[in-house]
This record gives sequence, C-alpha cells and structure tokens, in this order.
Amino acid sequence: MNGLEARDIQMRFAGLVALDGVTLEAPRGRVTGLIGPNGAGKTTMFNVCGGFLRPTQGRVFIDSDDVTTSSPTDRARRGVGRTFQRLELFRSLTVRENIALAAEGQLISDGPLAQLGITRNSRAARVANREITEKLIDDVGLTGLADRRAGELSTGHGRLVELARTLANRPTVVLLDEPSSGLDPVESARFGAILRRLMDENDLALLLVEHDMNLVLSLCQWIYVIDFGRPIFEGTPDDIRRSPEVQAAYLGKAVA
Amino acid sequence: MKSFLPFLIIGVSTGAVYALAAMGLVVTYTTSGIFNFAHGAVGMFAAYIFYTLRVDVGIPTGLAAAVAILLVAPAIGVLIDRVLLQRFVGGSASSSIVVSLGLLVALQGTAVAIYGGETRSVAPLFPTSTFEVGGVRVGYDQVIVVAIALAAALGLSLFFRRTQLGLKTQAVVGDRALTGLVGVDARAVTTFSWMLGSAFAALSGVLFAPFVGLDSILLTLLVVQAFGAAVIGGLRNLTLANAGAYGVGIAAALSTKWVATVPSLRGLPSSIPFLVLFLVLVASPKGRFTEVGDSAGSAARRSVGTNRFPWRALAVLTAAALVVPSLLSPAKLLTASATVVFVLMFASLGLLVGLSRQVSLCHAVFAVFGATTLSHLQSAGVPYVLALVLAGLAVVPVGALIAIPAIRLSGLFLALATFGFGVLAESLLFNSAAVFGSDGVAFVARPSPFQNDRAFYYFAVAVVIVGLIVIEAVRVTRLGRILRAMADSPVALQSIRVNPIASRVMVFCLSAFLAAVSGGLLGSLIRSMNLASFGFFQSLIWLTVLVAAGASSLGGAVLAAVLLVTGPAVFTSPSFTEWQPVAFGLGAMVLAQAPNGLVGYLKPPPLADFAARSRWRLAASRHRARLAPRLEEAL
Amino acid sequence: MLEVRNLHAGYQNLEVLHRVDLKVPSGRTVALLGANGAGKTTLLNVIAGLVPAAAGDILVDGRSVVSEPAHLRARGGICLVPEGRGIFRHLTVRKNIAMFLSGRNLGAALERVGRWFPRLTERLEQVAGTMSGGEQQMLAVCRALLVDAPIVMADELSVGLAPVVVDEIFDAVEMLRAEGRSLLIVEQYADRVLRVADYVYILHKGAIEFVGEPAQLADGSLFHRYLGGSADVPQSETAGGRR
Repeated sequence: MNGLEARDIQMRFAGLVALDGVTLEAPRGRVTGLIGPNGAGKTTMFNVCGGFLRPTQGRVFIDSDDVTTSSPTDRARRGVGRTFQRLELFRSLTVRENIALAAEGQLISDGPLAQLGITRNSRAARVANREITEKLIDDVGLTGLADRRAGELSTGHGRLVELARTLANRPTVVLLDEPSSGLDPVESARFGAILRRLMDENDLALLLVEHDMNLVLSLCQWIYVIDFGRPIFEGTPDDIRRSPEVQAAYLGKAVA
Repeated sequence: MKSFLPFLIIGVSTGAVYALAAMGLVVTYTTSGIFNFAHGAVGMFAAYIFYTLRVDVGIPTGLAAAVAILLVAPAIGVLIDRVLLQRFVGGSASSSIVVSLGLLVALQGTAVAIYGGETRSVAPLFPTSTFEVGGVRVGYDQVIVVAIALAAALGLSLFFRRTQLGLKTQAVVGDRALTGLVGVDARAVTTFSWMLGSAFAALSGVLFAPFVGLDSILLTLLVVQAFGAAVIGGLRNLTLANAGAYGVGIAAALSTKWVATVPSLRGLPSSIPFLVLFLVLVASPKGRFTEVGDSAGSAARRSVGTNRFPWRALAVLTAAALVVPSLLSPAKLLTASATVVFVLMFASLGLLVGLSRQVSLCHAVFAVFGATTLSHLQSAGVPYVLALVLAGLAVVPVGALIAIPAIRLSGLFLALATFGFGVLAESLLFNSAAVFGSDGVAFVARPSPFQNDRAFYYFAVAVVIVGLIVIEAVRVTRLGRILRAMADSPVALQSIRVNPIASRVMVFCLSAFLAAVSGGLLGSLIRSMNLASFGFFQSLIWLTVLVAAGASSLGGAVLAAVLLVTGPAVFTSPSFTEWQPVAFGLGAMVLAQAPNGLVGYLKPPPLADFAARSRWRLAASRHRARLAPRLEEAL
Repeated sequence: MLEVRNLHAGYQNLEVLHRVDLKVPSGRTVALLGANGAGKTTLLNVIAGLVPAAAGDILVDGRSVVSEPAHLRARGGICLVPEGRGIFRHLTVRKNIAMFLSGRNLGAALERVGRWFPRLTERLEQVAGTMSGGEQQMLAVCRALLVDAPIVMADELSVGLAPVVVDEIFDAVEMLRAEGRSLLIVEQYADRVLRVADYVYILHKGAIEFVGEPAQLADGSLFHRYLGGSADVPQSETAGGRR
C-alpha cells in the first residue's frame, strides 16, 4: 500500500496498556482522521507512527516498507513530515526562510560545503527550489507576510507556515498533530479549506489527529475512533455522527 | 606501597574540600536548574571576607568563619537568586550560563580591585601538628577538614531525609508546580537552596585558603574543581558527587608523586579535576545529562540578528579603519591595531554566542595556539599568509575534538567542556615545550612588507575585514539559517531532515579558526607571546564583555573591542583597569537577556512583540463580540 | 464560594480563555465540560494560580485572590487536584502525605487515609510513581480529603483508569460533597459527573457555551454541543467520494 499503515499496534508502559490492537491505514490521496476522548491513546499512536515510540507489538509500514524500528529522522528521510501540537516555528527566520530551509533540504545534501551555500547542484535545481518555496507561500495565502519573521505572526498564520514548511520538504506521508489547537473557529475553518485544496494538488497520505470535531468531520474521508487504547469505531464522517459507540465513548454511557 | 600513603592522605583532605564545594553545587543546580559557574567565586569571596574579619578587624577566627560562612555567603546566595536569577525563570540556558559567568568575573575582579592581585598567606585554622599512623604522619588539620566534610555530608543527608524543609526541597526538585498547589512557596525553597549552596561554597573556600593562600583566581578555580566531581554525579547525585570529589582529590595527589620526575607534566596534578570533567563529558552517552528546566525556554527567546548581509556597516567600518591612523599619534597605533584585531576575535565569538547560542570558554586558548603555531611555522620557513591560515586550521581539529562530544549533550555541557579544556590547556599544554618552546616565549614575526606599525595596521585591517566578510556571509547562508532555526526549534529542524549537530560543530570550528587567526595577528602585533599573555581567565572576560556589548551583531563586536582594548588606553588611571572586569561582569549579568546587549539599545526596540500581543487581544475581542449574544441567552 | 468574573488568560501570544464567568456556590458541585482543547484545564490552572490571568477577577468568598501566587491560594482554601495525578512521583507515599500536610500530625492523617484507601497504607514506603495509575489517583484525591480546603477542583480524575477504580475515586468525590465542600470538576466522561453535579458549565473554544442544570442536557444535546459547540444536530456534509 502507498502511504502509512500501522498494523495491530500494542503499546505497554510499565504495566499500563496504552494501545491494544490498533490498526489504521492512511493511504495516499486520502485524509484520515484519528480521534478519541482525552487519554484514549491518540498521542501515543501518533508517536508510534512518527517513530518517537517503538510499539511493544505490531508493525508500522511506509509505502509497504516495514519501518517499525526506524528512528524519527530515518522516517523523515523516507518522506514522513509532521507538524506539532505546540507550534514549532523558526521564530527568528522570515516566513520565506522557514519554508526555504525545508525546500532546500530536498535538493542539496547537508555536507559542510552545502551548508555554506556551495553546492554542485545545478542552477535549475536551485531555481526549482525557489519556485516551490514561492508557490507554497502562495498556496497557503501568506504572500503578504513572506518577509515577516515567523515569531511575529498570529497562531493562525503560524499554523499555515508550519504546514507549508512541512510540505516544502516534499513528504509522501504527513502527520498533523492537533493543528487547530489555539485557533478560533474562523481560523480553524480557513486552515481546513487550505488543507483541502493542498490535498487536491498533492498526492499525499495525511493523518490528522485532532480534537476539533468540525475540522475532522469536514476534512477527513475516513475516521478511526479509539478509546482506552482500543479501536472502537471506524467509518465516514456521517457514520461517526450517527454512531452510538462514539457518543458513548465521548460522554459516558448514561447520557448518550 | 607505603610511599603512596602520604599522598593518599593529602588526596583525601583535598577531596574533602572538593566534596563540600560539589555538594553545594549539586544542591543549587537540582533545585533551581541553574548551573552556578560562580560557585567557586562565591567561596573565594567568602574566604576574603573571612580574612578581612580575622586579620584586619581582628575578630576571633571561629566567629570570623561563622560570619563569612553563615551570614555573608547566604546573603550572596539570596542576592544571586532574588536579584540576578529572578528574571530568568523560563529564560534560555545560555543566558543563565552567561549570568553566572558574569558574576564570577565580577566577584573575582572585585577581590582583585580591593585586595590586589598578589597572594596573601593565611594563618592555619587548625593545629598543624601531626601524629603518626602506621608509619605515616598525619596532620590534625587534615583530620579536622575531613571530619568537617563528612559531618556536612551527613548533615545534608539528614536534612533531606528528616526535616520538613528538606522534604519540601525534594518536592520542588521533583514537581515545582505541584509544590505550589500544596501550599508551599517553591521560590522560598529555591532561595534557601541558594543560601545553603553558597554556605557550602564558602566553607570550602575558607577551609582551602590556609593551604593555598589568598589568591582570587586560584581559589575561584580550586573550588571550581568541584565541577569535575559534580559531573561524576551527573550534577544531581550527592553521593556520587561526594565519591567523585574524594576520587579526584586522591588522583590529583597521587599524580603529584608520579609526575615529580617528569617536569613537562608538572601541571598535571592541578588539571586532574578538569581532565575528569572533560573525560566524563566526552564518555557520557547522550541522555545521561538532561538539563533541568530547559524546556520552557524556547518561547521566551527573542529574535535577534539581521537576515541580510551588512554591506553598508562593513563599508563604513572599513572606511573608518582606514582613516583612523591619520588621526592618531604613532604611539596609539598599537592600541588601534589591537582593537581592530579584537573586533575579529569578538566577531568569531559572537558567531557562537549570538548566532548559535553556544558558549565557548576557551577562546583565549585558541588565540594562544594560533600565535604559537604561527611562530613554529615561521621558524619552519612557511610564508606569512599561508602560515597564518595554517595556524588557524591547526586548531580546527582541536575545536572539533571538544565540540563533537559536548554538543550532542547540551549547551551547558559545551560550556563546561570548554571551561575544562581552557584550564587544562593553560596548566598542562602551555607548560610543554611544544607550545611556547623551551624558554617559554614564542616569537612571532610580522609579514616582511608590513614591518612597521602603520603598515602592519593596514595588513591587520585587511585580514580582519576578510574575516568579518566570512562571518557575515555565514550568517546569511544556509548554515546561518540552520543555526538560527536550531536556536528556535530543534525538534522542527529534525522534522525537516536537517542535522543540526553538524552545523553546530562546523560553526564551533569556524569560530576557533578565526580566533586562532586573530591570535596570530595579535602575536605578530606584539611580536611575541608568552605564558602570561592570555591566561585562561581572559576567555571569561571576553565572553562577558561581548555579551554586555551585544553578541548578535557586528556592532556588538566593535563595541566590545573598544571597551576591552581602547578603554584602558584612553583612561589610563589604574582604578579604571582594576574595575574594568567588574564592569564587564556586571554588564553581562544585566544584559544577558537583552536582545543584543548595549548595541541593541542603540536601535529602535522591536515592535513585533507588542504587535503580536495586540493582535490576540483584537482577535479575542472579535470572538467575544460574536459570542456575547449567545452567552447572554444562556445565562 | 468561588466566583470567576470576566476572566481572560492564555500563554504568550495565544489567548485560551475569553471572558469566562463562573460561580461555584458554597457546598455545591459544578461540572465543567467541553471537548479537548476547550480550555478547561487552563481555567482550573488560572484559578489555582499556576497560569496568570490576563484580565478579570477570581473571588473566594468575595475576596479577590487573582494577584496571589499559587501557594497562597492553596493556603487560602483552594485545592486543585491537577490533571495527570497530582502527586510527587519520586517521593514515597508517606512523604507525599507529609508534603500534603506541611508537617501537621502525620499519624492521625495516615489513620484516616487507611480508612479511605486501605491499599495506600500498605504502600507507604513505595515510591509513588511506581504504583498503578489508580493508586496514584487515590493518593492525589487523598490530598483533597486531608486538607480542609473549602474549594476543591479536580481535573480529569478518571483519565486512563478502569471503571472499577473510577468508582472508588468518585466515592471520594461523594465524601467531599457530603462534607459540604464546593467542588469544581472537569471530567471527560460526562455521565459520572452529571450524576453528582448541581450545575453544569460547557466550555467551547475558551468561552462559556452553556450554563444550566444537568437535567437540561438529558435530551442528548450534549454530544452535539461537543461536536460543534451548537445544540443543533449538524447537517450531514459531503465527505468522502474522492477515490
């Protein structure tokens, strides 16, 4: 399968079972959601997919290659990009520099000379790199802010810089960790719209871990729900809305 | 075997003093998360106070010691915590390192300014008579010192296990926020730990003074030797730090016996603690040293440095440098040349401190190596410019050797490793014939067409300008961007497949290269360099003056050079030179967290923060306006 | 009585709470509900003094405490059992209890703890962080029972705990209620807390979305408030279809 696949993941921490038999597929060309109540194991699952945690059992595949034991850096090299729940920007660089830094990473090796800007890369490659940077700035609607320092931006714009920077690295699999946290509903909807457009243009596998249900339900084509570390439901947004299991998981049995 | 016993006894008694200092260091580091480089200086200062009270005022010895240890030192501790570090809650690790180094320089400078630089002898505190055990003579004073150290260790352990305050201190170490929720004032507990740690430093300083005499640098460094022991305990474990201290003391004493026959190694015994410090850091696996409280820093950091190549500033600087000689008397030309060379030195240090937020405490050593290597190459007949470049290149592997193991640990440990290397180099390498030659002086010639002072001035300007262009170019290349990005968010950098370790090692090596080149120029300027030209302590003073002036820009480097070199030439009164380091130390403490030191205040303040603040307020009020009707309905 | 007026708070350049008003009358229990990220934990942390308020006031029995540091608020009668087990993980159970009491009469306290949670007294010398999640939470709740703070706030008591253990923890909440304390409880599993609550507040994206009594939520509108912050059942949107 092209994209990310996690099969039958189990994760134990000193006696506590955080994940138990969770399977998810995030194929290319689809936005896949992962939701669940607080403490359900979403973050643990996210970290297993990104390589920050090694599962006790189960396997993780990227484009059908087993990457269960490979490090986050290794997975990044295989094309896994991610964003952070607590916004991680290069605050002292401009928006353009933030994105260019990631775009360059693809074209030039990081040898000592390359870091000083001396490369054997063709002029064409450098031009392409610049074009990609400019196109992404445009795509996320930050043209007017391109020369501002990232540290001066609002959280809403910051999320977009982070998204563009992740995409500039040309990943095949993108993991988004609660991208709407810190955004107001308007910003959140805008973020969703931009993300949807970018998905149409790029052949990406996108996994979204998110608590803003509006964003998840409007963006994802397939959603996995976990609770107590176990899969309890999967389906389309409509299925989720109607599912009594999901309601019970979120609110407890009696009220639902 | 028996011949070793006397050394063993000396080792145990010095180890006891190291142990006292190490315990104090560990206590403050674990509770406050701030590594106090000035720990030794606090001990030194207390020893001077003790001396004054005892000799000049004439108070009985016991009372004088009690006042120094139980009143003065804790007061300094309160001052450090409440005045200096209060503002650093959530600050970056490198700025707290700079603050404590500033304090070290200021305290040491104050001691020299008040008491003078020469060593005074201190009458023994305890009876020096000896008794014999198994054929070895043991001094009563040695026994008493060890007894005091053991009692203090026991007392500290009981304090943590049995007292309510000790329990609270443990709680603060484990979970600061929760301590507040339980109704305990974590700030007060931290302040107490600074009082306690300072008292331990003072105790070790006072106990040490009779053995080594009252010498501000020596006492500062002797107590600083506790660093080695504290590092063995991972900076956290009191038992291991204690064991490490005795181990270090014994190893140093035994080595005195061993090196007695090898003159070139005569600096070895006093460098053993630093050797230990350095080796432990080098050998430690990643993750053994995780810094206390380093996580909150990233958001508090402010953006500094420009993103553009400063053509205009460089042009103005060059023009000014070219005009200056015509305005100066020939006698002042040497000062002007030295200032120019120091601009490059400070710019190279600024590349580290300002851009990469790494701290190097051995730049003076790089400068010395640059000069002596240049001297050796000249003797071998290598043409000047080539020799200067080769002298710079020669320190690159040295720099890499220090930086590679330390950088993977963290900023604090790079500072410690360079500190250790600096002392090690001065006491061990500078003494060996390989550096200064057999007569202790390295003669450095000037390039043949630039023999006179004026011609050499222009030559120096040319080299410095080339160096500055390299530095400014680095700031705007990918390397510069990676380093700034690294300071902002290491995890994000990893997520876009950039290996920041390589960048940091590279910039450290580049900085060392340029420092060595500057050192070579300085050597040529004064035509020779000897052991006393650049002591280890210079590195610390350079760092503080640079931070005070502004580490993040060319302007800061120029100002730092003017303050350090031109200042004493203009204001020739002895009190100016005496108090100069104190001013630098204080300046570094005050300005460590300023965006770009003094130079930063010469420009309009960054409005970005205000803009960002008002933006969320604006967004919030919009959001409120939308929700208000609904809220009223609900209520 | 605890009263929060017109409260704004956040982190750096991010405002999390926008004009929050909330009241916990004396001896009453208030449930604070809302989706992840709504700002519930921030609100409790602001009340406890861990996060500074940007604007607004916090009153305990009419006395403003908004400018006091956390430890003074704790001494002044606000007890927060924070999210993720409010215990000193590296200290033993005995030392934890000693910390909770600030040195007062440990013997009597241990006896009381033994009555509430016999399992804890068996583990007095164990390092707290090595106990099971349930035992850790019991120890955390013990603090609320041991100190006589009139206002008790609890953040996500049941996270990651098995239902049986959650029952035990909520027994302790019942005890606090019976003692006449004012309770403010944040809880993911609404059903448990709605059973004990007198009033319900729902927080959505940092603002109060609903104030009322538990009975008003009996119609099942709660889930949809969680989903979109509105009581309307959302219209099904077009999703899927690509590929």
